Amino acid sequence: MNRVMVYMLYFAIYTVLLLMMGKNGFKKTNTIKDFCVAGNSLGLFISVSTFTATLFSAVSMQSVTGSVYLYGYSPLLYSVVGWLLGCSLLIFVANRIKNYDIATIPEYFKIRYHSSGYQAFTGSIIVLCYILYIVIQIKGFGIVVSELLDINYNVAILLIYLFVVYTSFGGLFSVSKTDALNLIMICLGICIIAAAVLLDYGGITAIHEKAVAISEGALLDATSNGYFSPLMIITTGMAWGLGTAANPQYIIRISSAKNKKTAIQMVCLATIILSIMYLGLLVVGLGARAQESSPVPATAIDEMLSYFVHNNFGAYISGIMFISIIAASISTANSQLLLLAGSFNYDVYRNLFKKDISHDKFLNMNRLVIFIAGTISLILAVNPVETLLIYGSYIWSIFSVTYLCPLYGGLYWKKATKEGAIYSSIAGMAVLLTLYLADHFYGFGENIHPVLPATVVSAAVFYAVSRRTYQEEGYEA
Amino acid sequence: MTEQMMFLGLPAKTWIIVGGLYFLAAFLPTIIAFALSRTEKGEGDE
Repeated sequence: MNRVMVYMLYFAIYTVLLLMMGKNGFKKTNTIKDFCVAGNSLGLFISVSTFTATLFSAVSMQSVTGSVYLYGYSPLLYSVVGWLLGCSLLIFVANRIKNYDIATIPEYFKIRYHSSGYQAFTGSIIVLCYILYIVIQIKGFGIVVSELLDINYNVAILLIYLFVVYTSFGGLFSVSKTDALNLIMICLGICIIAAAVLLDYGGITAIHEKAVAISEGALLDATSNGYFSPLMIITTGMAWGLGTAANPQYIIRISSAKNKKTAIQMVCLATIILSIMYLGLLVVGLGARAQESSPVPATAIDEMLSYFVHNNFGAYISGIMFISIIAASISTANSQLLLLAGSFNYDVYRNLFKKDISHDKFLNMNRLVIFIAGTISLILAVNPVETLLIYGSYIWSIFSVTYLCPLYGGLYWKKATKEGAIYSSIAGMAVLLTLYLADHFYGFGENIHPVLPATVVSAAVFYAVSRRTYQEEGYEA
Repeated sequence: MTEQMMFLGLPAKTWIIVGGLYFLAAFLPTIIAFALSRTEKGEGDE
């Protein structure tokens, strides 16, 4: 059987399995809470699957592997370590947020801060950020499917509708079930390719020795022999870490777990599983580089994995890896579409304009928004950004400066006030935007990610305004 | 590079900085969860 036929066979089997798994969710979804948080009923296995598969996106799969290929060990510090440390903070959320009966994270802000306007604002942040972030998943999907089926990139990205829109339509029940399948596919792909790389190149020691020889040790250095400054590594890692810690797509999985114990176990287990998966990608990225002395250009690092797999392994092995990349893209994109649709309708539209809305109408409106938002992301993905890892860190920064202080402060500090939350979000956004523009136009502060000063300002404003308003108004939180 | 202590072909410095942080990050949620449960248990006993 020729290569394209094998790929098409794999693709067809994966499609059928995904559609079957997604179908189950439609039957179970009857209410708003079913759609948004699966009725707060998910057990440990499904919770771990959906948390892990959602966190492990096209950025993880393609950009981390490509960055390791180009720069060696240092990208682990400014991306993966940041994500895993961000998961640690989620334990604090899991410890408290199950006390609130919520369908979305912005609804928590409404309950905690007694503000419909702030719920709408934070809901709008979700809509904006996820539309931009889904572009990453569509690009990741497009790169692979164009290679897999030997079709044009722009045609390939159209296919993502079939998967993402369909699985999102069934709500979190559908998304979480398909995430279990996607996680199995991702793990299978990484294990097979990492094992094949280790066998082909004679083990990790041989790969390291070759990596030293071709890069004068830069690939094995924590800063790539000074290519990245420690400050840049720390602050970019913080951008990812704080963005993960405040990210609604992970917090909603805490809320959807059936109880607090399950939610905490989910975060702990998922973090350990993720750390093993990223080690597999490290092996693949370094192994690919050790094989070739001339690296791909920095602008093509996201394409490196599919190029390497396609040209170095037979169709039966590389096909599995391609499906696992597709699974990583879909498992994140459908989750984000679900969240943004729920936020648009529940936190913005229903909250501000129409209080009474039936469950059926809400579900249909969500499906319409999923379709529209998916279309906008698709159009943006026609001319995608060049490096997913840096682009994504900027989007996650928005969550850091708007959600982090109001979320953790609200859960653990009784003096946190509505005014503190609102002004900290506005101040954080203002600083982030100013520094981003200053960097973009004048190259100001290119060694420091804007998330660090923006989050510090956001936290300072949150503290100062909350203290002042709490004392002035005799606030009862 | 060759003068550095190596393990599995990777310099000790990288093992400590990258490997150490990586290992810590992977198990930190479990450590925090354990600490929180001990704290709550302690508060419950009082």
